[in-house]
Amino acid sequence: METLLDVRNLRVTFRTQKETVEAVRGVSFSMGREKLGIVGESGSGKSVTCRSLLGLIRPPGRVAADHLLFDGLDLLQIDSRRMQHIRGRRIAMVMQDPKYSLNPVMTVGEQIAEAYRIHARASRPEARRKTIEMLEAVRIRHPDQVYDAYPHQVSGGMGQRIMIAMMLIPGPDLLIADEPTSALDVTVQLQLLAILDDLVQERGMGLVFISHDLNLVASFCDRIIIMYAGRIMEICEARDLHKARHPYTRGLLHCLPRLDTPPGELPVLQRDPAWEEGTP
Amino acid sequence: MIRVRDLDVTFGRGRRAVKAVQGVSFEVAAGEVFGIVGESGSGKSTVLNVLCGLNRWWSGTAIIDGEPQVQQRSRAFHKKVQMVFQDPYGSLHPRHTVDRILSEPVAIHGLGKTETRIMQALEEVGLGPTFRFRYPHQLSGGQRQRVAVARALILEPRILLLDEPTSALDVSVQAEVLNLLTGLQRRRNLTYILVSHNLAVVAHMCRRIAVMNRGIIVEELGVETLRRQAPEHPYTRQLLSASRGYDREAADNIEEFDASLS
Repeated sequence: METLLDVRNLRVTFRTQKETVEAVRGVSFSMGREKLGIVGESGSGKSVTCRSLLGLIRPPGRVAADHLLFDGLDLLQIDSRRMQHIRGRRIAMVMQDPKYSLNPVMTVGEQIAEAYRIHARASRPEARRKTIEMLEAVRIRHPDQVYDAYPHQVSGGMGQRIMIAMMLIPGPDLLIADEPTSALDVTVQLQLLAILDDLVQERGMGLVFISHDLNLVASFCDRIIIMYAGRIMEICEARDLHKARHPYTRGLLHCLPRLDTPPGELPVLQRDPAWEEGTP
Repeated sequence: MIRVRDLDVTFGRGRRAVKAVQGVSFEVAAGEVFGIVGESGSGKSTVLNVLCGLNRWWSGTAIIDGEPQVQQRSRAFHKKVQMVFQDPYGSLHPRHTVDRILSEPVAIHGLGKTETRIMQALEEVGLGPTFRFRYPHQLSGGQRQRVAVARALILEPRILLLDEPTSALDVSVQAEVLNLLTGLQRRRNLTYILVSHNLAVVAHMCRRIAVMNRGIIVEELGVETLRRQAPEHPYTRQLLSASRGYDREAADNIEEFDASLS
C-alpha cells in the first residue's frame, strides 16, 4: 500500500502563564488510502493530532515533529500560502457539529458552491450544477430545495451530509472526520457512515475517523489507533480489536455495558500512571 | 408508585401544533428501575419533564405516590421527586461552589443540619470532603455529574428521574456513574425512570423498558426480551441492529417509521 501520510514523533504543547500542557507527546503513525480510526477519551489528544496536520493549531499552541509527510510533502516546512492550497483541496476536515460549522446566514447551496468556486475557479452556474451533483452524491433527496435552505432548516443528519458534500467537492486525497456522527441518532449515524464508506471506496481517499466509540470504529474502520494522554497506546487491525493487548484498550472495552452480558457491577477502568509515561 | 395514563403534550396551537407526546401510558412500581429509550424527538425527555413539573402543557393522568398531579406542583412534591440532567456542564451554576449548590435545596426546604447533610451527600456519591469548596470548573465531567446526583439526593427523594445521565461522559466515567446509581438505588430503595438513547445502558439498568418513537410508546418490553434480541416491533429491531455498530447492509435497510401508520 502506498503511504499517503506519515507522521513521525509529533508533539503539540500549549504554554500558558501557569503551566505547559503537552497535549500530544510523540505520536507516530503512517497510513495509506484506507479507513483509519483514532479512538480515545476526552483529552487524549486525538483531535489535536488531526488539527495539527491541517495547521489549525494557533499560538500559544506549538507543533513540532520529525516530519509530517503528506504525499511526500512535509507539512511543517511549507509556508502558509502553500498550506492554503493543501487545506481543503487535498486534506479536508469534517467537524463534530454541523450547526457550528455552517454559516447561519447563507443558504447551504451557496456555501458549498463558494467552496467549489474558490478551489476550482469555476463560474457560478457551473458551481451550482456541481453542488447539486454533490448533494445527490451524499443522498439528499431534493437537492434543488436543499440548495436554497438555510442551516437552521435542516436536521442534524442532513447538516452533516451537507458538511461532507462541502468537504468532498474539491476532491481531497485525505478526509479527516472528527466525531462526525456523535451528535446523531444511531440510525442516522449508520446511514451517514454508509455514505462515507462508499465515497472513500469510489474515490480512493484516505479517511481518518476520530471517535470515542470503540465498537463503532472497530466495525467501520480498517485499522485503529488507541490514544491516551497524548500518546499512542496501541495500533491494531480493526477486526482484531477483541484481541487487543494493551490494558487500557481492554479496560475501555470491558467498562461498556453490553446487551449480551448479565447486568451487575461494571468493571471500572484502573488507570496506570505508566501509560502516561509511554512504557507499556 | 408512578402511574401515567393517556399523556398528551402539544406544543404550539392551531396548524403549527406539534404533538410531542401522544397517548403515553405506563406504570412504575416502587423500587423499580424503568427505562425509556428513543431517538431525538421521540418525546422521551418531554415525558420526564411532565413528571417532574417542568412542563405544564400536558393533559391526561399522572399519579405519583398515590397523588394525582396537577400542572402546579407543591414543595413537598419536589422533595419527593428529583431530576438529574444530561449535561453536567450546563446544570451546575458556574459561580457557585459545590457547598452552595448542595446547601440551596436544604435551605429552600428548611431541612436544617446543612453541614451534616452536605458531608453525607458528598460521601454517598464518592466525593470526599475536599470537593466541598470547589467550583464546577475545577471538576471533571464525572465529578460534576456526581455533584448533580448529590444535589438530587440531599433532599432524600424517593423517586429519581434521570435524563441521559451518562451520555456526555467518557465510557470509563459512564461505568463509574452507572455503578454509583445502581448502588444508591439498592441502598435507598429508590424508584428510577431512566431516559436514554443507548439501548445497552438502559438494558444494564432497567427491568422493563418502553421504546418511544414520534411521541408514542411503540413497545414495552422486559429486559430479557431485549437481551435475547427478540423485540416484536420492527422499530425496536431496527434500533437494536443500528446500535450493534456499522453494517453496510443494515444501513441500506433503514426505514422511516411513522407512528401514525402503525
